[in-house]
Amino acid sequence: MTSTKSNCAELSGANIIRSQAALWRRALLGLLLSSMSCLAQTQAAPREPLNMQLHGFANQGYIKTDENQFFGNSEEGSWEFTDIGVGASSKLTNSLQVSAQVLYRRAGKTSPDGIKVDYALADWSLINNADFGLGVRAGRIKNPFGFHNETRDIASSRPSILLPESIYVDALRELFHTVDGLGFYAYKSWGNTLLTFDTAFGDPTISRSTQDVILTVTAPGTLTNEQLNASRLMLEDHAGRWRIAYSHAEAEADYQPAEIDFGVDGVAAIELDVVSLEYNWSNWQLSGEHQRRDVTYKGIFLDGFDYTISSDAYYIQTSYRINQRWQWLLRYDRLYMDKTDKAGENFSVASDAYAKDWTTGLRFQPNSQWLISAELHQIKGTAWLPRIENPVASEQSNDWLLFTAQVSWRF
Amino acid sequence: MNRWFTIAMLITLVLTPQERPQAQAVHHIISNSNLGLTHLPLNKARSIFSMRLHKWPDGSPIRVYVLPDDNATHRQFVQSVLHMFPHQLRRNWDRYIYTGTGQAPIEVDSEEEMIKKVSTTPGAIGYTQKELVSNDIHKIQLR
Repeated sequence: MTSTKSNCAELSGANIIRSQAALWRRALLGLLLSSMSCLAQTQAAPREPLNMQLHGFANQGYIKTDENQFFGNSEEGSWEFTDIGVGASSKLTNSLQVSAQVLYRRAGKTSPDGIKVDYALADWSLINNADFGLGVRAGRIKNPFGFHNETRDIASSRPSILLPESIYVDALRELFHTVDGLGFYAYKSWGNTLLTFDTAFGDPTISRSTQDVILTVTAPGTLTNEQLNASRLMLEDHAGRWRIAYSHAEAEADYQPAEIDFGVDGVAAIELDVVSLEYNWSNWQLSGEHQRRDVTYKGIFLDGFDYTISSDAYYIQTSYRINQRWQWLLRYDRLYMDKTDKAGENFSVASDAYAKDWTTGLRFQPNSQWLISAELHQIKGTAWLPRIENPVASEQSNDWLLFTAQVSWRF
Repeated sequence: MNRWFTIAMLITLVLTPQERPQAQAVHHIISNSNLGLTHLPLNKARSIFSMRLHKWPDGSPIRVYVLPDDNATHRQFVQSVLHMFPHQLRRNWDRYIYTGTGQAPIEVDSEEEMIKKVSTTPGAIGYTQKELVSNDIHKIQLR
């Protein structure tokens, strides 16, 4: 136990010494995490072996478009669409679980290639009764948001290969996916209905490519002091026939100009509100989500600049389970970047103002480990087309097709 | 709609066979006799098999045993006893597993193994359609 204790002390120490931005939050988090795990190790030591579980998955996709680039050189056919995740969880006590997962992800230029810690957290369940429960989480936490945000990388839990891009826009995946911070959750059951509440707040991750998407330009300065909170209230039937949810998320960061920069100090903020509905009947599922997104820029480009753009998005989708192995999907997904300018009259490229995506797909699941799926998107507009992969506006096409197929394996 | 899109949609609709109806058997929930459990409300059973509830009222851990997703007994149990679809249970488990906020149930390969594990593991719960011959297992009535 001596070595465990000294490791714990080092762990807390290392976290406290971290310098600069969001110092206190990280330090508190580190202390909490390490003290929780130390406490748990001390308690768990003499008892039964830890309930360790390992899990993992690998998805390889192929994308072909007739026009426009999506996840690599898709006009020629792209294989740059890979996710590989490996994780472990352990119940240190009956109430305390620690878990972590690393993820390798490749999605053309839309996300930096490489391995990163997808989540690493301690989950402390304070109350866990049949009718009521609550708990806290600390670490790198997935943000509760809409039906799909937390499980967006898991092929088998998605209805389609690409989630509705209007709401789960891949270019902003990194920003909204996780926070390094704290979370809280609770549930309450009444009769046949279950109410759950989840919230998380802390520091999101903003790499250079995400910063470009937020600012819509490649700026020499840096977004710092970033913070994000996300919450979701969900009401569902115990039998899983229906669920309805409201989610709200807010992200904010300060713009710090570079030494040579036309820009000035400022703040960029994104606020999201999503309403989600799902109904299951026999082998049919009907679902839809509606999102309002406000992006606000203060300063940054010009002293005294203050501008908010409100976008409006929804999708409606139906899927049919033909049998336990085959499933068919049809979806309409629509986004207006500026709901006051649906045709894009004030956009430099009009088609950047909207995207209307009809999708149909088929999934084949021979067993719980393998999944093979394919889908075709017919798209009008380029609102969610990654700029970084389509830098020349005149080469973009307003009317395009996207075909994608994916093989997924997990254990 | 675009011609290719319509063709793709039609192909996907026509391609695959329909599910055959399956014979009904009597399934019941079983638990380790150390729990002294004879009855469970349906929604509590759903919470347990969904992995949301992970502690018995005395604070001891619930150990949930299941057969593989595509096992016929599993599918029939989930549909006829829990009145849920197997993919709904799987979705709940996936959310816990892949967000690090919970754990998966313990998968066994056969009903024989299920009965063996449930009878020898304190706090264990599972299901079977076999008639029981062990004193270490209680059959649970749903309310």
